[in-house]
Amino acid sequence: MFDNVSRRAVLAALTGAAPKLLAAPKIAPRADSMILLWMAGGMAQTETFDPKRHTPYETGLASDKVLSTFPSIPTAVDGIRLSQGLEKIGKVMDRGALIRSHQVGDLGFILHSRHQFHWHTGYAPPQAVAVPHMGAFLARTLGPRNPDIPPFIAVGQNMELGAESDALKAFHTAGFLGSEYGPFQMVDPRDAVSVTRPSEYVGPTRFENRRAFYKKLLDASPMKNAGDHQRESYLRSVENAHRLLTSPAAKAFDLALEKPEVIARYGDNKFGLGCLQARRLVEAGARFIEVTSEYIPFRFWDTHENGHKRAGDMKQLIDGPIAQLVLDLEERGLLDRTLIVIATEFGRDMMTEGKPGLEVKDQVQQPKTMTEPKHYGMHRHFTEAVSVCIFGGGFKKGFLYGKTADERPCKTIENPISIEDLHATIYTAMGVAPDTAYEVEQRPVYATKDGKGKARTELFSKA
Amino acid sequence: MRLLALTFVAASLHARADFASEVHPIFAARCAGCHSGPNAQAGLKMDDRASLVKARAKIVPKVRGALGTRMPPTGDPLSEAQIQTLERWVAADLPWADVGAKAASKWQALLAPRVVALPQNAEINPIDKFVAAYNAKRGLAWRPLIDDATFAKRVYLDLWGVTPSFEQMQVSKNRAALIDKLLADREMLAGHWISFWNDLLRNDNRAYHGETKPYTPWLKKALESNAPYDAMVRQLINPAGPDAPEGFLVGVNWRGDVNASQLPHMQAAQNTAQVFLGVNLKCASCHDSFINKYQLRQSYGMAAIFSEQPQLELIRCDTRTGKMQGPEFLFPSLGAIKQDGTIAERRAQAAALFTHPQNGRVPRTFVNRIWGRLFGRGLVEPVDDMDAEPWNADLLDWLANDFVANNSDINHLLKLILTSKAWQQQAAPIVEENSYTFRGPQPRRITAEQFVDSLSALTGEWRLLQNDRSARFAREWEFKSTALTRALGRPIRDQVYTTRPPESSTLQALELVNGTTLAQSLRRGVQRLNGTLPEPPAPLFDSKAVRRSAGTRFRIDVAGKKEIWLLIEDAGSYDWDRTIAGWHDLRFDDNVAAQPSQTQPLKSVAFFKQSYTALTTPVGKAVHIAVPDGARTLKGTIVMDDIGRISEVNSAARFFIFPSAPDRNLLTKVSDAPPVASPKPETDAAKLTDRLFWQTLGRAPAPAEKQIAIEQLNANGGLEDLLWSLLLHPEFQYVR
Repeated sequence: MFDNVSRRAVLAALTGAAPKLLAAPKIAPRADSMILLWMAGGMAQTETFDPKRHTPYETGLASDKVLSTFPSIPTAVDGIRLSQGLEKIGKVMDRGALIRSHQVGDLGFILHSRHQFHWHTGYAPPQAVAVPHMGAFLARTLGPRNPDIPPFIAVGQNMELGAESDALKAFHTAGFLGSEYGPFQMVDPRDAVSVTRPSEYVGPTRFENRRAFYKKLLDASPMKNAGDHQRESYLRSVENAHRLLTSPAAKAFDLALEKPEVIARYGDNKFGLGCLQARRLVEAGARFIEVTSEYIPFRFWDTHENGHKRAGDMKQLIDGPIAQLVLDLEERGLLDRTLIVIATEFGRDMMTEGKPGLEVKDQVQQPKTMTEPKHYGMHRHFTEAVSVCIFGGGFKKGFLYGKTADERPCKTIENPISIEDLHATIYTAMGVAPDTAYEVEQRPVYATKDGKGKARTELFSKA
Repeated sequence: MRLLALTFVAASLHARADFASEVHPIFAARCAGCHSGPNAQAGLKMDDRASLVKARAKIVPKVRGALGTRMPPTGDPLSEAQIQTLERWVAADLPWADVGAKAASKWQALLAPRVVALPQNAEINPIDKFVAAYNAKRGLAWRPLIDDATFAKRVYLDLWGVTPSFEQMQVSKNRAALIDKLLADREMLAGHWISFWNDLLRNDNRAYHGETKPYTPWLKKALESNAPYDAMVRQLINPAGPDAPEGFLVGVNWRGDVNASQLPHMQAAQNTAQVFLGVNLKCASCHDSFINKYQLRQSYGMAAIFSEQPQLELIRCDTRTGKMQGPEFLFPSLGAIKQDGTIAERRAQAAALFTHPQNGRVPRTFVNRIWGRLFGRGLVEPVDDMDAEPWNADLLDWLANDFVANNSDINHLLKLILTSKAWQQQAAPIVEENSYTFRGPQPRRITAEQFVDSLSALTGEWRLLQNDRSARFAREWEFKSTALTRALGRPIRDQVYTTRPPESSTLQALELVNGTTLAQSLRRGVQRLNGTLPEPPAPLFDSKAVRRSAGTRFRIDVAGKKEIWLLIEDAGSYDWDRTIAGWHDLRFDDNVAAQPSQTQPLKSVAFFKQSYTALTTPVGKAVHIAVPDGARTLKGTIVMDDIGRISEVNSAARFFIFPSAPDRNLLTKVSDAPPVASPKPETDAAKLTDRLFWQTLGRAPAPAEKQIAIEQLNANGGLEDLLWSLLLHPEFQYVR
């Protein structure tokens, strides 16, 4: 089968001719799996993880007087208060680290998909090469944990919607790393069964019969020995797919196997069940799972009006399942080796679009004086201070990192951390050096931009 | 010198530092990045002992930071152990060792065209004359030629992008005539080759959200009219006129700040250099390139042709240098560009230089791309690096000249290659070797578009391009990418793609094995093959897309109809869940209220300060209403609530009334014909098996295969699964 073909070619075929790993300094991983809980649309930090003075709504209230539209609540950690609505997360805050000083790119104009691209790949588009999603980078560099579970799974984002769909597709990709490391995508975790088991078009019995028939047909071909490593690699990938679709490991995707009480605790909705599925997948040996609250323009966290009401709804959506995820993993002894990152593409503010002193073109009609409840909320895009909440993964527990000012314009005043450094810290926790590089078009492309990301080791419980 | 893997070996206690195991790894990891290649910083080359000897007194002080800027200037300093290694090495008089680095290629790609005489031998096709000479020199033999059926399959796929039917294969005895026939159908030809061009020029019919300007009509017209390649190049470099392809120079841009190396004019420089000249200017867009000979000022020189202002400041690694660069063609010996010209003037001059008769690179680059497409591997590889050495420079140069001498006629080039023995040899397996030996075409992976279109041609079931106004059959290239086509390698076109990824992957296989896109296509395709796909009704009423809020009256003729079906489709709302759309006051003959067979919710719809009660039917679900005996007309008002005006709801709906249960895949009546004539239904198992084998694998089934297939046809879902197995068969996936 492999006559005349060198081992290098076989390996290249096996790895899908992936680009060469140039540099990979060894780092001991603090976590084996990562769950990225992506709050798409720009989660308002002052309404969630970085509450400020609360000013309730009244007609005629000046917009610039409002920093938070909710009061704050205490948590299990002295010195950390969260916004009302995150009580459950508050109760597990002593298992996590909270960064309030993340600063994202100044891209000159706020465009959700562009900032999302930047955050997920570490590179602001346009780029001269097809840069991969963080999940793909981890999948390729670390490989799968359980070979029967795709190493990079993405749950919750419908890729086919409207004007920004191509932008979403552009970063949900393994790019130059090769399609083997691309995301295994599921829009709705309740549909997981159909993507991880033979679909309704075929059904399990016909699936097996068809697999057997296929083998028989190929065996009967007069050309079957005219193979080369391309053909062998192809047939192997078809067999892998069959194996995945019938493997016991795929049970991890099947939420019907969970008790109704558990489903209720997470919430019978896309995001809640996505979190539950992420837990199951980590238990089964997944490497990287992203669960998104989903980006649809003007919906979910993307509040251009009625921000207060919507933020309340979104907190109700995420509070239960995130806390439950932390507790369930802890109960199973998996929390320390699982890195959970709750992140978003930028924060929000009533007044500032962009960064104070570096404002960008305004996109929102926020009146100086509010006359209707729909004006009440965080409707502008704030790149100056973003909250990132991290559980597990060897990070310090009950730890607060970074500070923002209590008064407008609420700048970051302590420990600003850029995308490069945040990613460097995340990659380091996963055991991937921030200057890990692949050779693409004869030049290195690094995990963090130019390999310059510096991990903030003060965030780790053990340096 | 290429960067080697970091395998730093701790300094040992050798008296003389061992070069290969101790010193070289330091150089490779920390120095060679800047100190190597044609643009080596400070003229110091780490792979050149003489260069190091000249600088020997500076090496240790530099790495200690005792002499000017510490080296390396970024990242951590060298450790004490590493510095001592270098000290010992210098003290030992810089012992050297061969570390097995590949000898730098001495090949210099020419700019000018080169006249090449045809080799003297008995071959007729000029390509074959060169290959015969090549073979003779190396003691190689021609591979056997492919049979007629294999030939037909290849040319149909390579010219039309679709596999031929059994009947179509029967007329292939005269191979040149078949090629002519296929070339003559310009629409089919363009429908295949446009994907090659869309990949190359980053054109996408569906606008990529970041600012792009697709120019599909121009491209389609150019391909359908067999526009000369040089004319196309001139129009792409200097777009003028209403349909002009300005989008190519615009690139892919985002609102807001963009890195200096990716500004539109920089993208234009990179793309024009890559696409037409086979030069990678991406590295040279930030600094002098480490991987080839091109410099920062050269990429800026090209960019200054396309920029608003003709003089650009060089930005090196995100730092302004204060140095200015005016427009300069990458190969300035061909001619100068006015330093203060308008954009139009600069573009016009550039267009002339790209297609200058003394610019041999442009035809070579294109000829090489086409060769690569048809053979699976270019005369030069990678096809975007035309400075690399061809496996046959004479053949490349001759082909480029012949191309130009024939008015850059692409069809002429295609015919020349496809009629050659060289191309008609049996496919040679891909062999990993240090230097390539031409043995014939390689097996090539079927492309996403070829896969989908071939399935459509086989079953007669084509997708419809439906918009607000109309519906027509379209080939796969015209649609947005699907999970299936992306899995099979169709790119997003945010980058220039000059090859499709040949590798297979598990995710790709998952899509083929279990994806719903393919499953649905197979289901419908089989129904169409069986003749069991019901003919969909034409609508009695079609509002086309209605946006934001509405109240429009209608009256339709229902004489003779027993039933009607109401259907509302989402025509692109942001938040359908909040859209309120429905039917107000439906009456037959102005008199009898229309009653749905199943009760539908009544909602209050408000627009233009009026309130209406409307029957709201669920989106995408047709609702049945019996027509009273003798009724002649139906009237009503379609309404959409003002809530649809809210930007986050942004309602858009389309209202239909059908005389029988509608087919959501075919809501608008189509009057044109599918791209390829539909096959006749075939119920005989043996004949059907033959037909399927011929049209997928390009041959008759072997007796064993036929028997297995016929048995399968009798099973539940048999035809779908047989078809699926043939589509996933390696003989269909890989074109030999």
